[in-house]
Amino acid sequence: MPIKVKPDSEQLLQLRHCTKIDATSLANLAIKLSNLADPPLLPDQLLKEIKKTLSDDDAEALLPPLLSMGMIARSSDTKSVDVVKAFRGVFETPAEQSDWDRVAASIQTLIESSAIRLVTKAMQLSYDYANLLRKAHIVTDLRPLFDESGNTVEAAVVTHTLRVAYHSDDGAHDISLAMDLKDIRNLKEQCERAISKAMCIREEFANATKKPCLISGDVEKDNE
Amino acid sequence: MSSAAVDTMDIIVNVREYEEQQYLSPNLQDWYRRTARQGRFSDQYGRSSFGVVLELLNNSSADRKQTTAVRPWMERFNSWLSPAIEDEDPKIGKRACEVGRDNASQFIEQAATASLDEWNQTLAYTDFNEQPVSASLLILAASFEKRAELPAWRILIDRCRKRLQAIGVEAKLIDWNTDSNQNACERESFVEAARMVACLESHKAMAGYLDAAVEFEKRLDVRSALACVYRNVRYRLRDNQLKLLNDDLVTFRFGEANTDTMLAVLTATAPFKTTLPNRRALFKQIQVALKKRGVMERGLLDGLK
Repeated sequence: MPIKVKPDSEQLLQLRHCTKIDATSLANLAIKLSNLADPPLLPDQLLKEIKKTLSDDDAEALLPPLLSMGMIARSSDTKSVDVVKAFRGVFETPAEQSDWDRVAASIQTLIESSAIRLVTKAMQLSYDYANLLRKAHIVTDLRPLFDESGNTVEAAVVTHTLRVAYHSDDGAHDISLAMDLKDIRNLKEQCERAISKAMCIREEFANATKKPCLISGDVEKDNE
Repeated sequence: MSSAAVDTMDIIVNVREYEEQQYLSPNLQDWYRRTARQGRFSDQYGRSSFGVVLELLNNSSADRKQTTAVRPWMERFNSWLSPAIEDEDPKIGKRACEVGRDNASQFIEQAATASLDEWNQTLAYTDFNEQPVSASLLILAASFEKRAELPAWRILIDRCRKRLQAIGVEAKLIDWNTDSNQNACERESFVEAARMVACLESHKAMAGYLDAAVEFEKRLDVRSALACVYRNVRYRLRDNQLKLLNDDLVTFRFGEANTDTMLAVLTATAPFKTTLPNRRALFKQIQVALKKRGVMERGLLDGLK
């Protein structure tokens, strides 16, 4: 089934930048990445790899569209050749389309490369859940205790509310949960324990399989 | 659905409208769910995603027409690669091979006049994974002289190399120095490689497959040489083309073949030896050739007479 795409103005700028990248360098990159023995798992590592062939500006303009195109190919079950064909329609003038044609084969090869495939797959699987946490914070309140007449504060109670914002199929939601100090200490302990478990299981997996393991949402320095 | 492109939110709204109108198939509902997650993912990850819409109805697209303008070339050489060029003429083995070569030359001559833009489009928007490797090799041959101006040419040759390895053919078949100035010679090498690989890829017996086997063997790819013989002979037998198979045996250049290929031809045709009159003469010629070369060993041809 054919797809059509409509990038926003910033994305269009990135795409236009991509068409201006030296086509020979881009072809070299496509061949290099499609033959990479140990493809990276993280976008930042991939960016470093791309920077070995392209300039910093070119690499930074190229990576976001590549990842998006890789995800489009995956999520819409579309062949990479059809994805680059669809992106041709983004450009309005024949000159721009001709520029895109020059780099389209390289971009198609990049989308198909194990490097892009692995990164996009890891990113998508990281967030492939029905409900996704967007934000969590704890609101701490002071609730005054008034006297009978309501004119004097006699004491106060500190309360906590955990506010969780999340997304699901039908949009954004949030939920508030009252917590006491014990709950907060428990939660803190559980959070530290979860981080520790994640590090432990990654190390075990990496040692056992000699394969990289991504902790969802982790930054590069922790994943190296 | 309107062909206008929309952002992710519009997709959701549109899809819901289609749900109400009962246009949506179960598959598209799945797609909607996946896309919805994708939207959430993008939001969460802070990495913007392109608005995408699938064409729900089979509207003809002007864009598609534009980008498929080069397809007739593919159709042209696909017809060359098709075994349908064979007819029932007993001499077809040799003739069809020559016809194939002529068609390839004609194709290359016509394709060579294409502009760089047309070549860029061909290399970018042709689904080479769906085409036989032999078709890709012909594309490489046809665009050979323009390769310096076509960065995607090297990508296609890398793709061909991998696909050849995937089907068990030695990639050195196309690993010559493509930067040298011997254009015509190397272009012909791609055509020859296309012809040879077509003999392995086709699911029907290809004309000239014995020549292809000898060429594979000359390139030290014995595995492909033997596969070429066994597969094509098997297709001849399966399609009840014993007469054609008998004619194929006359075309076998046993003088240029090594022992492995000679024995493969005799072994593959042994089950039908009584219905292949030319096989008897071939057996004697091979026997003499092996003796002359000093490789005839006791028992080598046992059971193959």
